Amino acid sequence: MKTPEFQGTHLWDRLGWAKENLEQYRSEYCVVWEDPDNLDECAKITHPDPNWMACALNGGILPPVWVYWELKKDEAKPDFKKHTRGYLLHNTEPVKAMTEEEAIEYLIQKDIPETVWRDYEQANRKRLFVVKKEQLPSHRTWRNAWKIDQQVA
Amino acid sequence: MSTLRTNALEGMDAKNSITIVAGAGNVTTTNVQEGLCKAWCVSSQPATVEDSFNVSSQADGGTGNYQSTLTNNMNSTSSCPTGGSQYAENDGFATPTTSVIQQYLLSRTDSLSNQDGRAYFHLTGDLA
Repeated sequence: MKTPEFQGTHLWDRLGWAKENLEQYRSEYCVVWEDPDNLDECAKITHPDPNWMACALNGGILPPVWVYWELKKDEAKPDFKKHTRGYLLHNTEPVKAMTEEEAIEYLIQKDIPETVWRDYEQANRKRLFVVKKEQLPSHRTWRNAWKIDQQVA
Repeated sequence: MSTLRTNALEGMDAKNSITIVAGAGNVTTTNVQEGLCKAWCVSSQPATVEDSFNVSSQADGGTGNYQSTLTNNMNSTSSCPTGGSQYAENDGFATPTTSVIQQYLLSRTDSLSNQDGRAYFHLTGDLA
């Protein structure tokens, strides 16, 4: 569906438009990751939201991922109280339509800690995989002990 | 009584803020934007979103541990998440960040051990 010209429109209002006009898209992929800053924790699994995926695939709605990085930087400051650069979400030119693969890459960089995905291919321990949901264990016994198999190529 | 029919209402001083004034002498006001739910989510299986608004992903962090990330950040960490669950008997939240809502489902109010289940939350507060 053709997206209206949304630059300058509040992101929350754009999401309302998307909810009303776009069909959910349920990705068959999810992201399995381990946090190198919390090695004792079990593997986590990030699932894309079907409404968000619809926005990503349609294009013209979501801000570029660097906007979220800027807000994270602001929030990490010790004297942070409130966001003062929220306008970046609404006034920055929205990203164009993404493929499913590009959308998952965007989501990794937006919703998973940078310490997980930055230079993950050079790490001495595997900590990030995009997998099909059918590759996950079929039951959740010992869920809190799940770790990424380091023998997987 | 007359009926107002329109497709859009827009604030004059602030585009996204409309106040309803009611009561004798205009003593009672309601700020529409403040009262709106800014995000909501229902997960049918652990961290698998069935439907939502303003959520980009949900992470399964272990038994009864679900982390939702927002598409439109909240303005501060003082937003107010509330929620519930179908199979677990209680639930709670970590202190929110401006983009992450961490929900825990608990099996019993006395033992507080985590348990998986169908989860719901909604979030009020101010948007960034």
